[in-house]
Amino acid sequence: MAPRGKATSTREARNPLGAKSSSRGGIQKRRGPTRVDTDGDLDMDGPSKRPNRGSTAEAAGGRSRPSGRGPPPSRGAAKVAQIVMKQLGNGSSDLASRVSRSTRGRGGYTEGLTWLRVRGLKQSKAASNSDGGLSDLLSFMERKASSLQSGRKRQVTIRKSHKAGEYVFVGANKEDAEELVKLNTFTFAGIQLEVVESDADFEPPNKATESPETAELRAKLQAILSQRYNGESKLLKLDALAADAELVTLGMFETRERALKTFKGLMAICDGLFKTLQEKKDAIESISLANNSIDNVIQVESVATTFPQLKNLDMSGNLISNMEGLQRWKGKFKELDAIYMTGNPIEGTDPNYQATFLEWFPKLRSINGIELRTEQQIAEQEAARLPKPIPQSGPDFRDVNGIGEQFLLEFFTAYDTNREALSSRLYDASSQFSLAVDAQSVRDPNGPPPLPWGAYIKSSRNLLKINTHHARSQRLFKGAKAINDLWKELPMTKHPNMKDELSKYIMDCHPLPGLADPTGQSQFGVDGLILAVHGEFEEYDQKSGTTGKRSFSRTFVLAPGLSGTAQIRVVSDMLSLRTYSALPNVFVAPSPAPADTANQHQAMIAELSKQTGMVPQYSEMCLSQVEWDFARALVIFNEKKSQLPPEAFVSAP
Amino acid sequence: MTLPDADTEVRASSEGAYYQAINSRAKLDTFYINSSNRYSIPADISINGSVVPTPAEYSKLLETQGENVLYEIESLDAHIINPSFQYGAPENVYESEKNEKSGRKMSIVVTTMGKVRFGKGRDAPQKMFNETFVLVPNWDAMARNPARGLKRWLIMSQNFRAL
Repeated sequence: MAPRGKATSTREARNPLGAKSSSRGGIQKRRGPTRVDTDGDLDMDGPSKRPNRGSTAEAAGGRSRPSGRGPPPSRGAAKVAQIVMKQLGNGSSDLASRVSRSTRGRGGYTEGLTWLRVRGLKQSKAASNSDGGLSDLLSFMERKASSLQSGRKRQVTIRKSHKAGEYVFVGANKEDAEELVKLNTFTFAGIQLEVVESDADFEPPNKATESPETAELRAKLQAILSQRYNGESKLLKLDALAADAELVTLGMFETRERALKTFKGLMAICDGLFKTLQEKKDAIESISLANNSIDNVIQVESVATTFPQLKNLDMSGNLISNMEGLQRWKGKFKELDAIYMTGNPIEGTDPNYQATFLEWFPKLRSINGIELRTEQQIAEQEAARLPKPIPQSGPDFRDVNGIGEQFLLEFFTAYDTNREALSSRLYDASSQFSLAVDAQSVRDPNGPPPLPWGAYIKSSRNLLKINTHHARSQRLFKGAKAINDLWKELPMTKHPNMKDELSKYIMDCHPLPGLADPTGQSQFGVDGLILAVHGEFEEYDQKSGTTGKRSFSRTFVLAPGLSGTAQIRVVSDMLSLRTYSALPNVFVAPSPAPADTANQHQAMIAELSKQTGMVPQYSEMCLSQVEWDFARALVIFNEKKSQLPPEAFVSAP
Repeated sequence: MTLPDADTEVRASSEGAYYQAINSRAKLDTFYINSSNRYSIPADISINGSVVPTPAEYSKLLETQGENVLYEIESLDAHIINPSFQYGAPENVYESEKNEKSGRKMSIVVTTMGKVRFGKGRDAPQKMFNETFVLVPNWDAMARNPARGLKRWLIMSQNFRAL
């Protein structure tokens, strides 16, 4: 059976560098007081420290069934990990010690239970029962053990049980376990049971336990893998696997199915070596899959999933004949830098595969050793794919008779200094005000710490948060008096002076038709203005004594004032508040976008042609030779003028 | 004097639909008065300080931003600015009084604030935005048997700013 990676686990003893354990490499029978935690990791702390570890949450949980927790990477591969790590340079490198450390720690055993290992269920007739015969076996053991006792009979109980591969592990208290172990060699459902005390008082890992045969095979594959790894070049050579004498001897490539399984197994072992993606990336940069008769990458798909950060891949000498055979790698290998495809039939049948590769693998630079694009080109292509915000322009201020401007210049000063006068002058009985808080806004990480929302939140009318009719209408303030009553409660503010610090504001203003005419004279309503202002203010909350900056947006709908009062009145005033974050300065001309380079080049070509009389093609050649340095282009032109052919010029110079 | 609060709920849902349309790059025409013959003027669309002549042009502008640009609103508020909007109304509005009572003839100013996310993933750059809409009745939807899928309100004025 091919190793199935994560599904199986060798609980082989490993020897982290420098650990004093006597277990050295290879497969090892469970014996002695060595303990293994829930993941099947050896506990190098030894049994003496056990009581401390019993208190960990995991241990206290004492699972009796395989849990839903994802299986950890196969630790059986640890030996190869050691070899790989050693080959990576100095065996005691950080990486190596990290890997070895990572397999330690995390205790996990069920307190007070003694574990027995029972073999035979799988071979028994009961194995064909619905649950694999487990419940039959357990009740058989409890019954037999109970009846075996001499003298006062006591009910023997199995507290926990756990099927793992060939074995069933049963946990019972010490007294009961002593009775249960006597069932060794008893016959159950036609087979002689083997009941032995499990090598320690640990709860076996919640994974299938390998048969000795599997473990041995795994060890052999690991050995082969480590031979095929070159630490210096960070290359894993998985080429011509079917010709590997050892693999052939093992029968790993006897049939196609077997070969595919073997390959998956190899990948799983590789995967198990590394705790993090970074470790994997650091250890293996290149893989060769050359000369493996692969006609569809499905057969080796696991390379892509196991090594998503691979840099170099050699696929040469395989049997890929069309894009279909490569389809499964689309969107994989995001870091791939070079790929070799020589000797595949696709080279003759569909040479366009190269273009497709450049699309699929965003970082791919070269194919078959030929550089197709530079790193800079890749970076440019990536930048071009990044989303670009809609450019900003200065204020879109379509004012009417300067009304909007006048309003803004007055408004914020008045709001800061005399809200009552402001409300009575520009607001009337039908004016509306509300504020809305966005407490999740983006803020500048270098900005000041955000201010609390306490002073605003109880009157915030963010309709995404305030859902009841009652609360919504309560938080809509209608009429100058109601508005002023609220304003009195809100923190004091100081807005920047708009004239002096214009760039702290963004304001747009447009005419707006169809406003209600309170006089009823105009059936179709009156024309007004709508203003949107964005900015910041300093705040002083007189109640909490906090000060600081806040960002705001404020929308005003202005209508002509009614006779006798101010020139305008505020129909609607909506204040949106967010944590302070400086505005973009829309008053400076935007810097020329990179796309403008092309335009600049065109302009230079035209200018050079104009000054020299050259046709545009020659101007362009000349400019590109001097990296678009116009002055140098002129110098070169003057130097080479006499050597230029007549067709270089629009007309005779 | 008090109109039903239905307005705010209508707004909330229509704004949600609008940003959904933006995010999915759906056609935006049906959200604007440009889609109705009753309105002789086009919607006034101002995006980051530039006037955009048509909803289709705005769609184009949105597309130039590239893939995976996501608008997400975090705050929303609305005021009724004219309970009985007349602009572009037909001479005989269908069930005029009933519609006025139920608030279907009003015009509304809506402000939203939220984030634009440029690109996928948690590290993608984000910017705040604030946007103001003036919504007016879609007279075409106020008929005995209005065509299906017509919006009840249409955008007459829009002002977007990335902040």
